[in-house]
Amino acid sequence: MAEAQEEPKKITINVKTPKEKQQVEIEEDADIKKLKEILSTKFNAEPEQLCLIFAGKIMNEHDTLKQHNIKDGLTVHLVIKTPPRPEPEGATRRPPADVSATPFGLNSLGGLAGMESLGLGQSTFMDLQVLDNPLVQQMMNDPENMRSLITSNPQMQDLMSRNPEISHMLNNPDLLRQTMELARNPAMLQELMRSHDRALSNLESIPGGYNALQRMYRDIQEPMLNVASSMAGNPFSGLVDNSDGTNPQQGAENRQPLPNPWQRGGGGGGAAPGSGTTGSTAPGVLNTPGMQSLLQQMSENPRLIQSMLSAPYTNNMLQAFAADPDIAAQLINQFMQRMVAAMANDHNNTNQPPEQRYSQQLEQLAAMGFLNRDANLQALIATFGDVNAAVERLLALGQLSMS
Amino acid sequence: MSEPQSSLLLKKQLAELNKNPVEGFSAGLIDDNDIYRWEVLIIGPPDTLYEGGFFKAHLYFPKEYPLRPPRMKFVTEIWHPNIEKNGDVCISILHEPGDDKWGYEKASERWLPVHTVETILISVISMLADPNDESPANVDAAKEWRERYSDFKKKVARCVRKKRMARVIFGV
Repeated sequence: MAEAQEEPKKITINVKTPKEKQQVEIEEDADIKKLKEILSTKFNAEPEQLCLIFAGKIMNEHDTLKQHNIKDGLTVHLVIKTPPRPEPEGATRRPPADVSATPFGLNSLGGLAGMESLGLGQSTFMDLQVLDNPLVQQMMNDPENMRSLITSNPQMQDLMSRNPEISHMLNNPDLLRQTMELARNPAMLQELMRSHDRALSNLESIPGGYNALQRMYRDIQEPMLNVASSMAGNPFSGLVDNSDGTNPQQGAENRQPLPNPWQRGGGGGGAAPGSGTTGSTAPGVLNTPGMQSLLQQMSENPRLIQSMLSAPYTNNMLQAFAADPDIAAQLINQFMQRMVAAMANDHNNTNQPPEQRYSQQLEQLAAMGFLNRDANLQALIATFGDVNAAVERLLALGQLSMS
Repeated sequence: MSEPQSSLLLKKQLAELNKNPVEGFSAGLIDDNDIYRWEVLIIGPPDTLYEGGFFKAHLYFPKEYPLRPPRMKFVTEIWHPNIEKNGDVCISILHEPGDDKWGYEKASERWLPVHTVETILISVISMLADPNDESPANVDAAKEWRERYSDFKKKVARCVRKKRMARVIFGV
């Protein structure tokens, strides 16, 4: 009688790891987070390292014991994860940036990788999209919106149904917001881009992401690269190769510079239109025969366009563009400015043909047993000379040992 | 109206597994109102290629259980010679009882009414550790396992890494 039942009833739960079994007492209405805190002292591990499983489900921190029907005397599984990466950098907790920016999909699902082969450095494109696009900013400020965007992609839906972890992530607005914050931070992104290969392998690490990547390469990047490497009307020659005068078409186009619809951009890029010899591909880019042939290619290949446009945020953006032409115009202006600037830079650094520029990397690849030189070169171009990323890519495309 | 034997049996097994779970997996129902459809989470067995991964699978029991076997399907992507690419598990104890018309398996190796969720899962877990490449369900995986083991390892590691990465990222 004296013992008032004010305090919630305590229950005893058995916790079982592959090695040992312990009992804990906990209020029956506690949440998993609380349970993890208690367990972390018992098992000598950080709460983040603990993974609790009951009735075939991984239990989320925000769930409660009641939700999972955990009652007195029942047993839950506990798995203690090893810290993510015990390598050198492990000393200071690795910023979650590079990992978390990836599942968010900015650089993965929307066909941006395809843009890469257009010679827009991924960083340039991301940077600009993230910084300058008010639409994107607005979008990212709203996790709910983001969530619905992501979940509206049937592929993502599939992923989520197959992988409970992803839906966990999407159900955690804090995490999502944090992810966006990181994605919006250009410095962080730059860092991310520097470790391009790691980002790539992280991309693979998202459940199903590897397949998505592979499919994307097949559907978008491969066709684009094929176009790029086909001799006649190489639409990317000015963008990717920048090989002085090796492509007769480039010379031809320079002799008759066409009016630049984004004149302002020309100034920003520092490459004056009509300056003659080599540098002037950039400003009039949309009017160059190369670009036109690209556009034609695209119009002849509806699947390519479709796959680019079917990304949910592309849709969303297009709708927004239609609704607000001003933003669209502004955006395109900025885009062009950036692109021109980037290409002007690019041109200075990379006025060698890729065979020369990447000769060292090519040798390395050959030494590793990748015998298909053309494929190697393509992979290097696509990965901006990053051998590791190129290897991943080649393996993904099954180029190993094919001569 | 009395419940069918199958439902009673499965309920008993579920209660027992919740109280005294077996090493290496955790079992529950996909839908709490449907005792015939189970969801299990297999913890990648230690000292195998699958260590560190969590693999979710579904079990579908027929009303005739335990006279007929359940079907088992991995929902998580997994690369293994005896698991089809769509996740279906191919293991002799889950094959309909009686003699194998192809002559590969003895009746004793096939479904027997004594099997429970626990025995099935233990077989599957040991299959993860030790694939049987004589009757592969995923021929590519089996070939790789036999001929290019390092590639096989890499692919499995990728599945596991995906899972691990997901946990790192999402904190689950």
